[in-house]
Amino acid sequence: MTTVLIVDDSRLARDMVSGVIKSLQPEWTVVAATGGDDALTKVAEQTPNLAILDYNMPGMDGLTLAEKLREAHLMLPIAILTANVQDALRRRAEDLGCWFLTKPVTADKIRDLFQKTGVAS
Amino acid sequence: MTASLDISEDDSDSIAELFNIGMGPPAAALSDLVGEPVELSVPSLRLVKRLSVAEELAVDSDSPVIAVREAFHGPFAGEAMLVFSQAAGLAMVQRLIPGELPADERDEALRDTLGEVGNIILDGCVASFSNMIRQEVEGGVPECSVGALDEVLAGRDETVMFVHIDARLSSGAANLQVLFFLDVAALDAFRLAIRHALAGLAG
Repeated sequence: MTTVLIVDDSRLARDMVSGVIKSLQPEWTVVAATGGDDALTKVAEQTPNLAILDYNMPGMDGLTLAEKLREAHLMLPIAILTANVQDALRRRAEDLGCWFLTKPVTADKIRDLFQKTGVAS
Repeated sequence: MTASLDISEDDSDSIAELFNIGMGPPAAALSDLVGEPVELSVPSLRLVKRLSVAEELAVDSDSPVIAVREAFHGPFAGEAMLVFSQAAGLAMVQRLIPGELPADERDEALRDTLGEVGNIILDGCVASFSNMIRQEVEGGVPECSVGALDEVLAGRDETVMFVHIDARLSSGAANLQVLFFLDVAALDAFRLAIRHALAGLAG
């Protein structure tokens, strides 16, 4: 069973990403977390096949969370989700081996992410 | 260094044009989100005392408004803000979360939804600027507040460069006001960044 972790402090954003994933892959499991600490707790319980992390969150930002996830899960595909499409941020995400996903999400963007990360053939 | 507290006509025109360009991607993102075109006014800008801004916004100052604010800093610093009337805020929420919300969830849904709209617009605009001036501009986490207009605009009553753009859904379902308050201490750095950006855009 494929599991996707979504981390975003906004319920609307979590629901939108989850809704798109469910429309494309109804049988997959979506685990939602409201922030970095919540995400680390959930990943300790179950390792996802893909993590989609909002960048701009209170407390721990998405890149810091990505670094922490990388420590324990080197090969985990991670996408940074953001409206902040600065070139500098994109480069920092790429330096961490993360994909870049711009808000708002659409089915095309998520489908493309699945293909690039190899979680869906 | 002391900033020169004036904006020439050329600088004013250049800054307005860069805000015009900078708002394009976030307006397109909002349009994708709500599923209809978003119309933008021509940016207006001037140097004002911050607390005088409330007088010129087309919002009923007797009714509470909803504001999403995000501080930014880098080669220049300031604050970006979205302001909705309550009716516009509720219309935006209804557009994004169709159906009747339970009464005890409305306030949270309002803050969450408009916070996310703020994230898309304000982060998007900060990013556009950063890319145009080729320098990093860091934005904070957007915060949503509800209150009287002069309360949500509150800040130190100092002179700021104030930029104002009206954005409206083309159906007329909701409109919002996009405001930028730039610290005048950074005005010279901002002018310099704008000139570099224009030189870059000119190729």
